[in-house]
Amino acid sequence: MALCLSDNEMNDLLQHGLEISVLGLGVTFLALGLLIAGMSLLTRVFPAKPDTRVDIPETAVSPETTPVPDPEVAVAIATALALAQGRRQGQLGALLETDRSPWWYLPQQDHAHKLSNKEDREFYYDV
Amino acid sequence: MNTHEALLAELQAQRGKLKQGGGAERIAAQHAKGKYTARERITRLVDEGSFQEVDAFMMQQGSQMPGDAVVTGFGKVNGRIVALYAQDFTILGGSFSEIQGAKVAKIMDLALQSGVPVIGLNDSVGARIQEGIHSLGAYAELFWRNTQASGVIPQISVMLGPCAGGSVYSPALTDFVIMTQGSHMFITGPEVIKAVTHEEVDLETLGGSDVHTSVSGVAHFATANEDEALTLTRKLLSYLPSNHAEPPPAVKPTDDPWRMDAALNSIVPTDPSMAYDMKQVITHIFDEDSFLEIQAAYAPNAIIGLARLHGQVVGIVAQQPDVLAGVIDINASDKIARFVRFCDAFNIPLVTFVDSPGFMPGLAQEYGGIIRHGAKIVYAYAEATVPKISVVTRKAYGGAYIVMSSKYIRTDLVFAWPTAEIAVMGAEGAVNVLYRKQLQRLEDPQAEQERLVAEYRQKFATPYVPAAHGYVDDIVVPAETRPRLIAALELLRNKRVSSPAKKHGIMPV
Repeated sequence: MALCLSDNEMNDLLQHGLEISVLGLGVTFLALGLLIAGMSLLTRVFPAKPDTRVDIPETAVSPETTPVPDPEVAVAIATALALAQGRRQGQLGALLETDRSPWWYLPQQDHAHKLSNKEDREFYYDV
Repeated sequence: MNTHEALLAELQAQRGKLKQGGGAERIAAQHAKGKYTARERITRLVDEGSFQEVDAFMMQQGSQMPGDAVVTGFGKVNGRIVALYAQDFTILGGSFSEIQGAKVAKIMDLALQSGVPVIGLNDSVGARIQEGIHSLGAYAELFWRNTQASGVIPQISVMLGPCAGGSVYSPALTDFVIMTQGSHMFITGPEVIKAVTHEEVDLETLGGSDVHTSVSGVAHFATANEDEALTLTRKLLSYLPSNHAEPPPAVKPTDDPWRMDAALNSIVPTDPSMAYDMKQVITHIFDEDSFLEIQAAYAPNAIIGLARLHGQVVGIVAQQPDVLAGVIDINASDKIARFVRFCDAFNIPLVTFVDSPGFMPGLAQEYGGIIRHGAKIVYAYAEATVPKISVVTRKAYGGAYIVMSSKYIRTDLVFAWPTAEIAVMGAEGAVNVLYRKQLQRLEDPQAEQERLVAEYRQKFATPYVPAAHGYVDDIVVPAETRPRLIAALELLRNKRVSSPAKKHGIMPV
C-alpha cells in the first residue's frame, strides 16, 4: 500500500517537527545557563585561596658549594638516626621477654614435630 | 616400750652426732688449713634452710660412721633446685668407699631423673684402700653416671682439697671444674713421678689450681678461697638451665636494648698490625656486668664465656687480638670446641666474634695434631643447632674464617664491621704468593709490593665482597651491634632445624 499525504497534512507535520526542535534547543541552553549561574554563585560564596608558593632560586643548592660531611660526623649521624628510628619503632627485645619458651630449646625437635596430642604439645612447648 | 618423746630424742641425738663429722679435733684441723667442713660448705652454697639431706644414716655393716665420708642431698640455689654431694675430709680423709659411692650414685640418679644440676664438692684423699676393688667399683659407677648425665643436666665439680689417681676422672667428665688455691688434681703423685721418670716436682707445680687453669686446661676457674669458689658456683648456675630440655634462665632486662656505645666505632685499629682488647668489645655490647669469662688463663688467644643479651643467656666465643694476634692453636681449638658443644647441649645461643689471622704455624703445632684439633671447631659449630650469630670485627682469613662460625657451616646470621678483612689469606701473604716472580725481577720491589698489598686489601680484604655474595648478611656500624644482636636473637627464637638421625657422630677428639 502506498503512503500518500496531502499538502496540508505535510505542512502540519513539518511545523510540528520544527516546534519540537526549537523546544529541545531552548531547554538545553536554559540548562547550560542555569549551570553557569550556579557556578558563578558558588565561586562568590567560596572564593579561591591565594597562591602561597615560593619560587626557590636555582642557585641555592650548588654541587660545588655543598659541604662533604666529615666521616666521623657521618657515622654519628647514622648511629643517631638508627637510634632515633629504633626508639620510635620500639619493641626491640619484646619477643625475648615473653613467657613463651624458644622453639629450639627442645633438642628432640623431630619428636616434637610428631606430637599429635594437644596436651603433649602444650607440655613441651609451653603454648 | 619407748615413748614418742624418747624416740624423737634419740633421732635428735643421732642427728647431732652426724653434724660432728669426724670429731671436734679433725674439724679444728680442717679449719686450721683454712677449709670448711662438708656441712659448712653446703650451708654456704645453698639458699638458707633449703638443704634436704639424703642417706644421712647410710653406712657400712659394722661401721661406726653413719653417713660415711660424704654428705648428699638437694637444696636450692637462687630458688632453683640442685642436687649435691660434699666429701667430708674429717672422716677418713673423705676417702671414697663403697657406701660413699652408693650415696653419690643415688643422688646423681635422683638428679638425672628430676632434671636438676648436680654439684660435687670434692675433698678426698682418693679410694679407700681398705675396701680394695669395691672402692674402685664405686668410682666406676660414678664415672658411668657422669657420662650418662653429660649433656642432660649440668655438672659442676668444685675442688676444695686433694683429688688424686683415678678419682680425677669424675671432675674431668663434668662440665665445669672450679679449683681453690691449695686444691690439687693429678693422676700420679710426686713420689711416683720421681720413681718412674726421675722428675722432681712439688704438689702445686704438678697439679695446683694455677697449673690446671693455665697450662692443662683441666679446670675452668681458680679461686683464692672456698667462699669465692662457692659464690662463683652460685653465679655460674644462674646462667645454666636445669637440664637439656629447658631454656637457660632469663632475667628481667635492666640494660637498654638500644644502647649504642660510640666507643665501639673506633675500638678496632685501622692498621691491621695493631692489637686491641676483644674483652672491651664484649663488655660494650652485652648487658652490663653480665660477662662471665670461662678458662680465662688457658689459651688466652681465645675467649669463651657466658653473658646476657637483653636478659637472655648467650655463649660468647671470640678471638683475642691482644694475645698472639688471636691466632688459633691447639689449645684454643679444644677450648672453643668444647664450649660450643656445651652451649649447644644446653640450649644456649652462640655469639661469635671473629678476628683471627689463621691457624698457628709451626712444627710443634703440626706434630701436635692441629689439623685434628682445629677440625673440632668445625665439627662443634656444624653440629650445633642453637641460634648461631657471628660478628667479624677484623681479620677472617682462610681456614680460620671458615671454622669460626662462618655462613658456610650454617651460622644463621653473619655480621661484619666496616673494619672486617675477609679473604682467602692476608694481603701480604697473598701478594707474596701471586707476584713473587714479578717482584723478584724488580730492582726496588718494596714500593711495588706495598702498592700491590694496598690494592689487594682494597679489592679483596673487605666485607663488601662476601656481603655481595651473601656470605655476610649485613655490614653494621660497630655501635649498633648490640641492638642488631638482640633483634637477631628475637628472629631466631623460633628457629627450627633438625639433624640426620644417628646414634652419635664421631668427633675428631
